[in-house]
Amino acid sequence: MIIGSKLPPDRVERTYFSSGRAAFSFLVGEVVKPRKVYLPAFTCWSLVSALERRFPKIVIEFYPVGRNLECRYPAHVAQDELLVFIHYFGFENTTPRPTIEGTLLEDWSHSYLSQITPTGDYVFGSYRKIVKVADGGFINHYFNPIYEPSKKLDTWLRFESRDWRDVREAENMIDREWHLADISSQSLAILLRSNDDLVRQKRRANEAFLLAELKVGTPLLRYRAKECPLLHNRLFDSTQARDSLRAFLASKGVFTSIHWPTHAAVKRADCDIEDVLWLEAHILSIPVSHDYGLNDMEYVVQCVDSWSRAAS
Amino acid sequence: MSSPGHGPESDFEFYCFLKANLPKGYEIIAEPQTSYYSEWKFCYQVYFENQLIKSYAGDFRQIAPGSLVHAAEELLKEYGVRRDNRK
Repeated sequence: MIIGSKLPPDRVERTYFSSGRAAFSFLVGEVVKPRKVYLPAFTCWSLVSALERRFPKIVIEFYPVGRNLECRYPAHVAQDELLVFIHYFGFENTTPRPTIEGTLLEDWSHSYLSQITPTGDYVFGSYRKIVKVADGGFINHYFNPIYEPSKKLDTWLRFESRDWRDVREAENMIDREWHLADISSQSLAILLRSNDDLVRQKRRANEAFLLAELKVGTPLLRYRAKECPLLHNRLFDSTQARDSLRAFLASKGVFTSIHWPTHAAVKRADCDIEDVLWLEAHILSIPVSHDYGLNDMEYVVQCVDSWSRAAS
Repeated sequence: MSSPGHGPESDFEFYCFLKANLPKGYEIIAEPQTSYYSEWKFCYQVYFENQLIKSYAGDFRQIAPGSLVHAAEELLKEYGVRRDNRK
């Protein structure tokens, strides 16, 4: 046949999944199939638990990450091994990558709106951290996965939610049990209509305001022009001061987080985690979501100033 | 997405199943812990006209498998009937 109406569908260089961990697991289990995976010691625990639960036979080795987020990559990554690195918090990870025989995997969950040129063999990530979707993960590559059946109840619950409790419960649900499933149609529609330039612009403005106006602690790093902030991270001299401010902000309705409590597997590993533990004890992550405006950031600054006055 | 109304197939579905199926006037609310690594802990509270009538709390790793599935079915049976009697 030369001309017809039933043609094979187009293919695009992107594959959607229900979550970042599903995208990661697809790459590990169906594409790369490594014997060993190198993960950063400073990591979101979902990568660790995805490997532990789905691939118990794969050896995990952690590599050190410094207080300035510089990575100390392993000297040698063999052909049947996988090295994962993360672009943290919207910053481009600029630690020079080693020349490796194995596969390089790039986690863009925090940074998919930063203008980064990929250097890994594959890029994957989660959408939920930046855009207000109920589910979603991606790989920047064409694949044709056979998805696992899933009721996607965590997704259902997020769309039913009216306050933070159901959103938190949905997070707990996906942490307990998740499948290698497809993204929901609602989330995909939200993503496809998202104004990425506006999201980037508002997040940058919010983060710049906090950077300029907060008078306590010091910024973890400064964003470059092409980067889209996930959060505004500040470092405090003592854990006590950090925790006191965090509790005060919570009492004023401002939720902050800590990136990250160190995963038990990282603590058990034979790896230098001094700086990772230091970050856990000193960091405070303040939201700069594009849902908020400068008036909200001003409120955060006022609350921090109140805490600072009371503490001094 | 599958509807959670077809019956809970595991204890993990307890909350969504009841959220989707409790009769009018009843409400189930989750009170999750917010700390990292607390995903196995659960606390669900059932209200009738804003009055707390039942509470379920525990650790998914420590309950007898199927116990929340059974509890959800019993609860719906009991309150479903009560709802019908009120009409």
